[in-house]
Amino acid sequence: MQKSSRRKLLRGALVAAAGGAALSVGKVAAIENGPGPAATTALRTKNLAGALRERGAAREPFPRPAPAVLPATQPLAAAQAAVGTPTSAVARMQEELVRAMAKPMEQRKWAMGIDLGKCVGCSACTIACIAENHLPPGVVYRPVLEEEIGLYPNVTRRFTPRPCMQCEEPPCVPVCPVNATSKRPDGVVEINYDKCIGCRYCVVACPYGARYFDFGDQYSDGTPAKQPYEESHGPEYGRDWSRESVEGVVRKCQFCLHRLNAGMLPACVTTCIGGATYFGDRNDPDSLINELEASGRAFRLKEDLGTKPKVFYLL
Amino acid sequence: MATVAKIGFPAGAVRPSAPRIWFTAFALVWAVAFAAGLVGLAQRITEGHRPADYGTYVTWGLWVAVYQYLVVMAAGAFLIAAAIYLLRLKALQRVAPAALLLGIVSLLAGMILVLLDLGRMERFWRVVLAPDWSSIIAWVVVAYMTFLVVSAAALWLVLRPALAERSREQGLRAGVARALVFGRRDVTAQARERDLRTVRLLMILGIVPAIGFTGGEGALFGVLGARPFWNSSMFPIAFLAAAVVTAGAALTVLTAFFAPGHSGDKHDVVQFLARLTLFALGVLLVLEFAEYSIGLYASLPAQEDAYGEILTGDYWWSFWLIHLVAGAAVPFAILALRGKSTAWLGAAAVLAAAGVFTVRLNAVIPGQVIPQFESLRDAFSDKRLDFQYSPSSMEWLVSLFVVSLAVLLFYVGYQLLPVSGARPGEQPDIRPGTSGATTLDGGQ
Ligand code: SF4
Ligand code: SF4
Repeated sequence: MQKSSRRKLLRGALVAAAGGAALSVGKVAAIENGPGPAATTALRTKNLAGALRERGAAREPFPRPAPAVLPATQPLAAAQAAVGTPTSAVARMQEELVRAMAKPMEQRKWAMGIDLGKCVGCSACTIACIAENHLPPGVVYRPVLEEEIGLYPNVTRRFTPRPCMQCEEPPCVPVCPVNATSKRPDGVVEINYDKCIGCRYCVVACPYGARYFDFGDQYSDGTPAKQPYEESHGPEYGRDWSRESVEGVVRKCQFCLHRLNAGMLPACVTTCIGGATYFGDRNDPDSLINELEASGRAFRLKEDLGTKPKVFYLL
Repeated sequence: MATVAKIGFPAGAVRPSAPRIWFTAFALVWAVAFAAGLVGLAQRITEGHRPADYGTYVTWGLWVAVYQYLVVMAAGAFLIAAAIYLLRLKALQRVAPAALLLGIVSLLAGMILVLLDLGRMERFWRVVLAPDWSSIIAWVVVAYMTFLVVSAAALWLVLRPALAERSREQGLRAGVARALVFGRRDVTAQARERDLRTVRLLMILGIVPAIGFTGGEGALFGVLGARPFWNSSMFPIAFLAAAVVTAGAALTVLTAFFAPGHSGDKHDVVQFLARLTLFALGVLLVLEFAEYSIGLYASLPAQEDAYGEILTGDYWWSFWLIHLVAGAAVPFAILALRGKSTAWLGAAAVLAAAGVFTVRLNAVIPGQVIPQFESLRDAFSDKRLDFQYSPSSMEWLVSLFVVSLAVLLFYVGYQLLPVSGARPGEQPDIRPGTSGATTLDGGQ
């Protein structure tokens, strides 16, 4: 990494750690959210934002400061002084998110980076996504693929979270007969649940297996009663989706647009215990996501297909 | 009278009617199938897609295969009718109205099935009223609509003289004829010649949507670069060959077992149709060989695995035993050894049609059972996230419902309209001036 960019990065991280990220959550929510979603969603996102800020401060610093060798007896405050003010990738990304959301939609381009070296395969992101988007059985926007590599004793496991790649050239879009799926100006490929007829052509057209048909299955199927959480409404696209309204349509990851609109990072990013998932605006030259993508470690899945995924991986 | 005589049923030599036993046996099987199908339909309506076995990874299942079978057969039936009128195949003119009716009914049935396959049936109108022209499905639906209009117009013109004559009689069929003749009762030679010219024009017009949606059905798969097994320009052409096999087989069976007249009288027609069917089957087999051999020699695992699935997977028997042995080798053997028997030729057609059904299944399913990433198989455990597929009972029953509904619609049309010249199981009425013998006969 260049020195200047490292300095910028540290500067940004310091600002973020000082609480800058917290400043604009409410402001950004007002930018695009509009009057639409239910008050409960707004309340929840705010609480989450608070939790996020707390977590961000306690997170592993990014970039990692040089390890300080501390005498065992040194008190904690001195230890902190030795390593400097904790910085956080999450806090920095949060800051950048606020910056990006202040721009018109067509001037930002969301991208996600996943560091395979950091992913521990815990599937916390998978579950967080299911909880966040109220996903029914059989609909999993972000499964984690597991592979065993090598021969004993040189073996390892590789974990590859696989959200929708938000392709720049998405094969799933032109096949839709009713224009229910499209690429937004900010690069996110969305599905209009009010238009989708559930023909599933886009499902077979996606080279990444990232689209899911909602069969209307319930977790309580085969049990005496439906559970209250199954009646709760989903928040996708900043709308208030009853369970019935999304049955029979095709669904997929949309980078938690409803959270972005509320000034929050996608649920998978803030939940990742390995700190392996990065998110930001590719059009922001100072963004962390840009630095990572230019790190030389980045690659994309099935790059040869020319779909130009906006999700990249770091080796 | 003239019509009947020209197509190989010499007037005065009319033999006993088509064997009633075939009709009775078929009616019994139909009744059971329709009743069972209604159960499946009720389940689909009340429980949605939940009782289905397809999921997200294998997301197009039996219904898509049967739907494609039906619409492709519709196109084949129209193409056969078009060939009869445009190439003036007099020997086959008697089956042309039935071919047109088969095309309409088969397409409608296919559309009903694909409607039931949609996640949100109530929004189907969007494809018609708010389509996205970048999608092949949108074009295919336009082709369906055009096809239906052209086929219905052609069928009406073909039947008009007989409808006009029948409208003067008494009874239900005469009432239907009166309703459908729309006041055009002119059956003079000039009027019929004019009608015939229009029919020929409609045939030319209808070839475009018929070939269009048949090729389009193949192209639905062919254009999917994400699926190496499907991504082949062979699909649209193979679908055209399959169209002629299935429609030819249906018309062979209809003529051999259900059309009026003694088997000896209609043998020429049956033999011609059976030969046409098996010729198209031969073309289909050559295309298939080209596709499979190239796919396998390309040594691209994603493609190879799909062919492996067809040739040696769980359903290997459907390819080897049903398609190649029962659906191809046996029909060819029948044609060679028992080609003089109408009943045997009818049986050969049944087998060929059944064989092509496995071709449809083997186009739809294996393209989806190979994961996009091998590790996707075990990434998340859920019955919808499974690369194995075997149709559920609801899927079979709904398919049965749609097919038996198509049979019912065809039978009603066959009964109420002067399509055949006589009702199935009855002796053809060849007296001059009666409705049965006066379908459009090419102005002869
Ligand atoms: S990953 Fe699949 S669903 Fe997502 S944009 Fe690309 S093609 Fe579409
Ligand atoms: S399933 Fe919905 S989004 Fe996908 S192609 Fe069909 S209508 Fe479009």
